[in-house]
Amino acid sequence: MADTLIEEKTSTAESVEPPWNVVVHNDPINLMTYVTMVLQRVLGFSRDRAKKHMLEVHKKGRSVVWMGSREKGELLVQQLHGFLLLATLEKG
Amino acid sequence: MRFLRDENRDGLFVDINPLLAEVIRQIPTAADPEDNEAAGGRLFPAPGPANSEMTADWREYVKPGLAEQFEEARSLVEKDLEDGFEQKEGGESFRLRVPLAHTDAWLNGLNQARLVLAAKHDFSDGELTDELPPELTCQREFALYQIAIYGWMQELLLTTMEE
Repeated sequence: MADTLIEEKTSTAESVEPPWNVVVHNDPINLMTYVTMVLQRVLGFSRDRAKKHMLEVHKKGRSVVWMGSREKGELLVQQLHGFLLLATLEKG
Repeated sequence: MRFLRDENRDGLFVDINPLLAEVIRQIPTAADPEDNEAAGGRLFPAPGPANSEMTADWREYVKPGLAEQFEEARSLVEKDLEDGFEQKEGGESFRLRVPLAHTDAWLNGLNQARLVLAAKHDFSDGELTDELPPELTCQREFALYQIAIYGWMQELLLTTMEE
């Protein structure tokens, strides 16, 4: 019987980065149309999807618009801040 | 005031009365947070908890770039107000040209002005959504009109972008 090399993949809590959430918060100043446009531009959302998140921000005060790595999340928050939206990066 | 786009898609605010023209000329001044802590805080909100390492890094590495970006937008708005604001010949109304390529700078500059005014005057959500005061008796009430007018201009720019 030929030797079989079994490659065992293991993961530990340290090696798996928890997802990060990019959260957009409500702001009484930013216009709904403006927030929709920004979400389309920064996150590449369709108009309908952007509107859905904008309405969630408006009604619930916040909306998670993206989940993923910290590095990419920081970049997205920076871009959202460039458009003057209130956005934060939170551990998922 | 009405808004049109010419054959090059440049924006034109037309039929601007003298009072409105004066309010529009004040956009760059209104957008300046000066030393106001609340206004500065709103233009540069923390990305996470105030005392976190992430926020400290943010202040050091990201904030300067954002400040530069906002300054560039304000400068373009200021330039258009100098170059593109003209009085209609023989009349009292004004017109203002906003080149298509400057649209983002205008949206940003108008937003800066609205956010700074709201933060400086500490308006409540109710004040910002209620009807405007019937008379202008103080600077605070005037700021509410500025916020409304600048919002109207943003809306006009936005709704015609995709047409």
